[in-house]
Formats: sequence, C-alpha cells, structure tokens
Amino acid sequence: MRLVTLLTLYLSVLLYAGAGVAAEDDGMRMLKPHYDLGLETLRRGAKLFAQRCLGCHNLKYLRYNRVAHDLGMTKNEVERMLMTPDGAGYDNGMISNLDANDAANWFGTAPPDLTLEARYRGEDWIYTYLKSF
Amino acid sequence: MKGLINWINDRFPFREMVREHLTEYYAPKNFNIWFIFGSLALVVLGIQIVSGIFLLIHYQPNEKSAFDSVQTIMYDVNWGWLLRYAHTTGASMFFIVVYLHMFRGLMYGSFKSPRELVWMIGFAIYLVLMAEAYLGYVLPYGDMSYWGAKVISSIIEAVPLIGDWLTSLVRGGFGIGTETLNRFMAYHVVLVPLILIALVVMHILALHQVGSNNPDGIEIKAHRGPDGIPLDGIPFHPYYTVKDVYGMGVFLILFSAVMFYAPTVNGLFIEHANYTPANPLKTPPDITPAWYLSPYYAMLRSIPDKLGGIVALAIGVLLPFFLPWLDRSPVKSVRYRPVYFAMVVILVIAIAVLGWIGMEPASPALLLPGRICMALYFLFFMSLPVISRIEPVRKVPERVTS
Repeated sequence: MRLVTLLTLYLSVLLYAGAGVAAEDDGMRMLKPHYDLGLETLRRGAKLFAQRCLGCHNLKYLRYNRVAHDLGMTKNEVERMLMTPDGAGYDNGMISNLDANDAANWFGTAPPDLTLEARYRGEDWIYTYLKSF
Repeated sequence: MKGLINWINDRFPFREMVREHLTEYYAPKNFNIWFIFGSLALVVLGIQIVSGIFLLIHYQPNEKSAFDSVQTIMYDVNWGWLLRYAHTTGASMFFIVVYLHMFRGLMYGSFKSPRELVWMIGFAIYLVLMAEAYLGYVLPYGDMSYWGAKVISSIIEAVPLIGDWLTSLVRGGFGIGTETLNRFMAYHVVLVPLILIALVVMHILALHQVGSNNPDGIEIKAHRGPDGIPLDGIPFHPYYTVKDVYGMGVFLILFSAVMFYAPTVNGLFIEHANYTPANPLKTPPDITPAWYLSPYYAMLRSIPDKLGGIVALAIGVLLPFFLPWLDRSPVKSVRYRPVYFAMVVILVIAIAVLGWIGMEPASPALLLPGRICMALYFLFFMSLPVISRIEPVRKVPERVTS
C-alpha cells in the first residue's frame, strides 16, 4: 500500500500524462493525474525515479528490498535497475549520492526527502508540478 | 473448576461483582441504538491502550529522531503501520463515539437528577480525553505537531502575571523541543491514561449506583415487582451484553474500513501537513486543530482579543458541565419536550458549523457565521434555565414505551 501511494505518485505520473482535469486549490489550478495502478506502471516509474530523481532526492524511509517485495521484482532486477547510487545496499534506504551539505551550498537548500511527499502535498500537486516543470 | 471458583470467591468478591454489574444489574428494556456508545468507548479505550503499548516500544521522544522513529514504525516495524493506524483511527473514533454518547445524554436528559454525578464524571473524562489527544498529536513531531504544540501551549501565556513562567514550565523550555516531547510523552502515556481509567471506573460505578436512563427519561425503579426488580428492567447480562457485542461487531467493521482503506480520511484523521518533519523556521500558512477540537478553535478565533478569546473558549468548553443545574425541567427526555428538541437541533447545527469553520483557514467571510453559531451555542445554555421552566411539555408515560 505504501508503495502504491509512493511510487505511483512520484513516478508513474511521468509516463502517464493523461488528460488533466482542473481542480481549484489555493487559487492555483491543479491537474488531476489519470493512470492505473498496475505493477508494470509502478515498476517503470520506480526505474525512472532511480535514473533521474534519485540523483538528488532521497527516499530514505523506503528500502530497496521493500520495493522488490512490493513490486514483485527480483533482487537482480532491483540491483540492475534501481540501485543507481554508488554504494547502495539492497537492505538500505534509497539514499542519493548527493551530499546534503554540498547540495545546500550549491542550490541554496538541500533537496527534500520525497518518501512522504505524496501524502504531504497530494498526488494532484505532484502531477501538476511535474507537468509544469 | 468449581472448587477453584469457590476458592476465589471466598477470598475475592468476584461473584458479587458479576452479579452487581452484569447479571443482576437491571437496565431499562427500551434501550435504542443510542445506548451502544458507552460500551463502544470502552472498546476504543482498549484498542488505544494495546496499540499504544506497542507504539511506545518503538517511539523515541527526541526532536531529532521522533519523526524518523514514527516513520520507522510505518515502514520497518512488522505490522507497525497497523499499530499506528489503529491508534490514529482510534483517536478520532474515540471522539466520534464520545460525542454521540454525550449527545444521547443531552437528548434523553441523562444528566438530570439522580445522574448529575454520572454526567459530571463523564464530562471530566471528555476534558481529560481532549488533553490526551492533544499530547498524543504532538508526539510524532510532524510540522503540525510542532505548530499545534506551540499555538496551544501559548494559550497559557494569557494567564495574567505568571503566564510566561507557566508556559515555559509546560513546554520544558522557551520553545518546543526534546524536553517538550519528553514530558508530553510522560503525560500521554502514564499520567493522563491513569486519570482516564480511574474516571471511567468511577463513571460506571456512579451509573450503576443510580441505574441507567432510557429514551423515555423515566425512572424504571419507580415500578418494582414483588421481588423488588424493576418491572421494565432486564438483566444487563445476557440481554445487553449480546446487544453490545453485536454493536461492537458493526463498529469494528467501520473501524477496520477506515484503518485499512482510508486511514487519513483525506487529512481529517491524519493531517497532510503532519507528513513533513517539524520545521521551527517556517510557520505553515494555516494552523488548525484536529476535527474534534475545531468547534472550540472557531470560538477562539471569533473573538478579536487573545484573553477574551481564551475566556470564550474556556466557557464554551465548560458550559455543558453545568447542564444538570441549567436545565430546570422535571421532564428528562426530548421526546416529551418539543421546545427543547428544537433547541438541541439548533445546538447541533451550530456546533457542526463551528467545527467546519474551525478547520477552514481563517478568513473574514467566516467571521460572521462563526459568531452567529457561537452566539447560538451560548444561547442554548444561557436560555435553558428560563425556557426549561416555562416550556410546554407533552404527557410523560408512567411506564416505558417500546
């Protein structure tokens, strides 16, 4: 269930850019994502997250073995497709190689951990953010 | 086995207790669905204690690790998500059940003589429950935990002269931090639950001393058979234990539906803003309390003065405590009091609107509706001593109706 919320919201939205339905929130027009929650979608989303977002953002509460278990992937697949950061451990959380202090120096602020982002801001917000990036 | 039971009964009044409170406790035979929420509150209390014990094992009351330890419970601890969702769902369910329970008392006049003390102890339970909920809300140390802790504890600053000193005493420092979490955990886990359990025991003992009320609001003890048993009474066990167990089954289905499928209830049971760690440097745009406290928060915001708002809040919270003396009518049940019925309906609508306003971001448009509902709320209690004396009442039956 955690995975469903997490990965869908973060990742699969990138691939499944459905027709946006507008919703009002704080005066900003929010797009509503349209995608199914199939395992294939989630796996592709996870892969995409690992290749792009994980460059800077952590999912520190989520462990690779958890992803493997919940998405029905083998350890080999996870190692090959998801464990992109150097020194990533199968039993450890998904931690980026970007050092938080370096990031704070370079960007002005450290990229936030995204494990709980979908629950914090909601799926519409993330979808809108990614679409308007 | 029989020998063992006899051995115990010679040394401990087990048999007498079962008789007094279950098999020979005579409850009115005309209970309806509103009479289920007392026992359901007991069920939720049990759920909270059991899930709370397991959460406490994994929780760390430290500003640096509290949020992480809660996420560890959610992601890594076996069945941890279930324990936490049981606890968060239980917290809101506790208030739903208690509000319905109190509403029942309001409808059928369960606060009136001879049950004044049952009502007062029950109201004390409600106050203690609010404290317990607030303390528990701070512990996960999400952003709303932090700012909620800050805003609510700053209410104490309004105390004249010693306000600042008292505030830092409660917080364990000038701000919210590890010390606050340490003491809030001690209160939430030990002090307040002990008081709560003691009050619950007193509530039940006081009730069984005077006997249960019923939807007709008449005393079944007034008509006794030759054996001294009330004619309209039936033994609590098995008749009402069966009813309560059935109600418990229905309740647990609803409880599970929330816990498994929508534990946050779209930000109502677990707020979205609490899914990010506490950030003392960035005030969230809107700080609103959980739904069960929002009517009072709306009252607080309706008054454009800190001390005045807090006084209004305190009076608003405490007014129902005095119901046994505010209501002068000899008739208990709303069934035979049409004017009182209308007043109760207006009161419930006012509280519901206040609850909604309290959860909305503060805005000038909601100021007037908030003040009107607040006035209606206060008017209910203020006018009751007069109206209850002059209102027309229907004829109350001698015996309970089915």
